[in-house]
Amino acid sequence: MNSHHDAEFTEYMSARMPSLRRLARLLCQDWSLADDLLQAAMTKTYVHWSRASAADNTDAYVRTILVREFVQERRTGWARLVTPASRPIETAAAEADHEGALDLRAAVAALPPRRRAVLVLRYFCDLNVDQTAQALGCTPGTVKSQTAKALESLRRSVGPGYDSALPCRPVRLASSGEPREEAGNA
Amino acid sequence: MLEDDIREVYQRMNDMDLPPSRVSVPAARTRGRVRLRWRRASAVGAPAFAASAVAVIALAGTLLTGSAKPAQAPGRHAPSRFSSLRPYAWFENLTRRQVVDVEELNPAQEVLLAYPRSALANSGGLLVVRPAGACHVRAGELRCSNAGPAAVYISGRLGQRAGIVDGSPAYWRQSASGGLLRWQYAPGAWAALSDGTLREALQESTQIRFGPKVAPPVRFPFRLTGVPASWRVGWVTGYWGNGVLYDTWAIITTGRTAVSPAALPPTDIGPAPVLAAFPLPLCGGVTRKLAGRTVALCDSYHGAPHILMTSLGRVRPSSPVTLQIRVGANPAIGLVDLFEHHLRLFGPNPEHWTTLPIG
Repeated sequence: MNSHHDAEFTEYMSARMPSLRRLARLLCQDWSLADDLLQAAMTKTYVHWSRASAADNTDAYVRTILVREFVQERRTGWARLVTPASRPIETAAAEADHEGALDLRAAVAALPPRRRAVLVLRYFCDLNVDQTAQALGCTPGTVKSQTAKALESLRRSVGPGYDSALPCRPVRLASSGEPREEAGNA
Repeated sequence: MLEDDIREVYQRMNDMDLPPSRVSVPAARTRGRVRLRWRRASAVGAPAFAASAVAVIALAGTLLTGSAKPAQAPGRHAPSRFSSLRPYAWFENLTRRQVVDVEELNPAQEVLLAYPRSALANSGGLLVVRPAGACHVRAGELRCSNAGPAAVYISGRLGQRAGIVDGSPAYWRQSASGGLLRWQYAPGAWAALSDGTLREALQESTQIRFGPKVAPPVRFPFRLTGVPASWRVGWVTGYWGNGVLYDTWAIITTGRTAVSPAALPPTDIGPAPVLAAFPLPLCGGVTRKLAGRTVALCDSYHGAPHILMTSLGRVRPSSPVTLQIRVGANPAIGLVDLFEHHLRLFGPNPEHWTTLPIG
């Protein structure tokens, strides 16, 4: 890697950092894990930067690395120690959220990694089936089935007769009859 | 529709303010360069170790059979296989059936252990390896910074010259309980091997190999998340019995505080009595569920404020994991709660700990 590549890589990553962090957070449902994921994906991107910078859509290329790193890491159960930041880690401000949406968010967080990734790519990144399949390295049929299974799982998790988890809706109870606790980070 | 609600949830999460980032672009470049060098070195089959690449140790299984290569006689120094290597910023350190200390993690804070492929007969030796720059010789004494539990082994007077280990002068210090052989395995990087006699130590040392692809690496299956940046893993100790990594002990330091040596590690005592020999009685017996495991909590260890969490469970196949958190004179508030909230235990299957390749 020469200095030009380094500068190009640094400029790109610095500009894309906020959006990539948000995407990683949607996948991981946790800021600390998201930063870990992004750090690992960024390293891989550097290794393949020649290819990434020459791609028709560098953003899509990097997104693919990020998503595949997420699925791969969660599947194999690798563990890496976090890289300490130069300053203390601060937790995100408490979300102004609603209990109904919390149910859905908790249900999403409980999905297996591939299904979670499919939902993020399709309903946040607004990718179509083919684009999602390319990002995940699977077939369009797999994307469709994973989407269907994920939605079915979510409907089961948030309770029968699901209407909508958005504001002004009643709190949904878990199957045990107890109010569902929020999952994820503080 | 559910799909619309999912979009709404994602959008709300996306609209939140970003917390301070721990992601480092320079770190990504640095680690990326390491990987690129590794790939190039592997591609050309270079025997020399690329700078900053993984360093592993393996002890072959022929130490006590007499077939080991004899140590080189003092006098003319044969060139070290690794004399051209740059000192490692971090390393892998492993012996079978012995306790090892892995300290001074690399900048990426990865802890890796190399599990030797071959069996080692019953040896009571202890191997400690320190990275480059951690030890310095002054007035005939080896002084190692932040030596942790293995300080008694690695630091101290060098003793007499005792042959050559891998092209480097070795030093032997005899004591009532045995002896200590020390040498530089790479420029400025020291290793210490304790053993009963000099002959045994020299035989063992010739079997210790540094370099890539000597043995498959092992990752510790845990991660710290959401803790202050000053917290770091001070060292990790692995316990092997009958060739199986059955316990790990990690000490997380909350700053640059000195840590008193932990209890001396057990030798290979097999899986059954491990829990009895482990320093659980030091805990007050208060237990709590953490990540699906029952943990015991202590608030004092070796006279200093501590939180010792050790998981109680079967030794095999789910090996216990122990974290000892030394907080120094001013313990943080709610440490247990903080760890309960942020500690993640990954890879509960010990089989995965020994087979996953490096990233």
